[in-house]
Amino acid sequence: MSSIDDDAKFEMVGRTPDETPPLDPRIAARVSRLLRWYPSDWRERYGEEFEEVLASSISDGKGSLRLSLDVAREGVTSRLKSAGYVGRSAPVLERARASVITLFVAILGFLSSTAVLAYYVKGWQRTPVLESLSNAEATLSRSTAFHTYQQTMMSPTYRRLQYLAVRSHNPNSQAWKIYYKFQTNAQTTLNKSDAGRAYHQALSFHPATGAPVVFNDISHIATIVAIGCIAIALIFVAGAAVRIQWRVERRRIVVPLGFLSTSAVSFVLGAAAYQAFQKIPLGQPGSELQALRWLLAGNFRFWPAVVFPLCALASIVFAVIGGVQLMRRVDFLPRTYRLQGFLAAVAAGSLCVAVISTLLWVTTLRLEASDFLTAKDGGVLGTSLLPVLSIVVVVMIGTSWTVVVGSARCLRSVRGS
Amino acid sequence: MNSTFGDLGHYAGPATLILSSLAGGSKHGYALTQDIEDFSGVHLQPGTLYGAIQRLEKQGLIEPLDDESRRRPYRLTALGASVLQDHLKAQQQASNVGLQRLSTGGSIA
Repeated sequence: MSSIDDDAKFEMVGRTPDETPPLDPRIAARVSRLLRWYPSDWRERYGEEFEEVLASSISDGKGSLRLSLDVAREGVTSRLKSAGYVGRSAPVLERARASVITLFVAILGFLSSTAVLAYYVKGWQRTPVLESLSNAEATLSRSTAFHTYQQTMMSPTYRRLQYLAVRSHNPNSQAWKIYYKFQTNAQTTLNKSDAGRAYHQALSFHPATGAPVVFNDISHIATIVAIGCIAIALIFVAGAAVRIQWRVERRRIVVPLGFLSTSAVSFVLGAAAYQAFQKIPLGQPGSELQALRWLLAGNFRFWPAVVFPLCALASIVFAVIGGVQLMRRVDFLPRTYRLQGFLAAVAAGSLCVAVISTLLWVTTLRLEASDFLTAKDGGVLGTSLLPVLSIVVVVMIGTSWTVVVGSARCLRSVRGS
Repeated sequence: MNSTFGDLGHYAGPATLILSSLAGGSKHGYALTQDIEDFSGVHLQPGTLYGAIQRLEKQGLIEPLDDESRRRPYRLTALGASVLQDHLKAQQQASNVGLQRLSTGGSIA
């Protein structure tokens, strides 16, 4: 063992370069493709020898799909390490930058899931007496079925039966039975009509009070705090980028700043649309596609049902593109990363509160109105909301955990620098 | 010693094989995979091999040799030899205890 370092003992095992046969062009192309998984600095150091190993493996019939998957996995890991996303091999500021980008994407991922939740849970806590029921009543009173029912109740036949029943003074008499059956048939026909069914469905809704309302409010406030944190972080980053880069090379930051501005405008529009969206009667317009059709046909009554999701999506997508571009194009000072880490830590706390409150809200609401997951608003396109809700909750938990870990990593990276 | 191997994470297994292979003489990448397959029956994929090589080199357990060819050979350093020896001794001790307990057949169902 002690003589291992001795050069005299060095012996090459395997084929020497002179013995290497000319490479098949297809193998060469595959090797070249596989090597692209790795970052440039890694390729610079290990590229040539790695190419040789790959070419030998493939030539010897060991170039299976497993080899490709192994190279892809290691290549991606190497890229993530090189960019500072995992491990401690990258420089401190690279790691801090990677942490901030991760945090940024994770928080916006969380907000996307809450936007989806906000869209689909509309009306879960409203009292049907105030909105749904009054709408259903109005629809029922205008329906043909109700008109027929009224005409039946005012018909000479009905009045004659009523007269005979009252005159009999006996609830078990034949006259009473015929009168009762006539009335029941008319009522059943009305209940079975579309308007009658809608009215009865509206009657079955349960208004939420107490615990669910409180947890929903807590969840809203926590989400607003997280939005506030990310807004402050973005404003600060944009300001720092302008200060550092504007006089040097402003072209690098103009596009990201444009994306961020568009995101801010979309956010304001989306917030306004959300307020208007809440005022649309429950169960209307039925589906997003229906609202879009009417909008294109010039009927703007349900515009928030289309504008809110579009603006929320645009705001988040533009913020991700602009924010990530800005973070990658500008070399910020350690104090900027420190502030980002601090804001992310606050956001992480808010996100955890939001997740817990949302779960408690759903649980308490479920206890209070057991049918709301399947009956409220007819669910997603008339089906159960449970799959959407499950995905949203998983995304919320995953992203908030990423923010907790990422903020700690960011603060640890820049500590003392 | 153990912390050195602990730092290798999921490369600890491949690292032991690579160091054991290099204990028999310096080798380049593909020769390492062939040798490891011969003595252990484990086929190390190129990605895993170079992930481990990179770690071992960074920890100073192996070092590349100057070579004009595209196949750069690696050799074990003195530190690498010492770490490998300690690690294998610990593994041998664990193996001996396990084998001894199996031979007595104390709690086999």
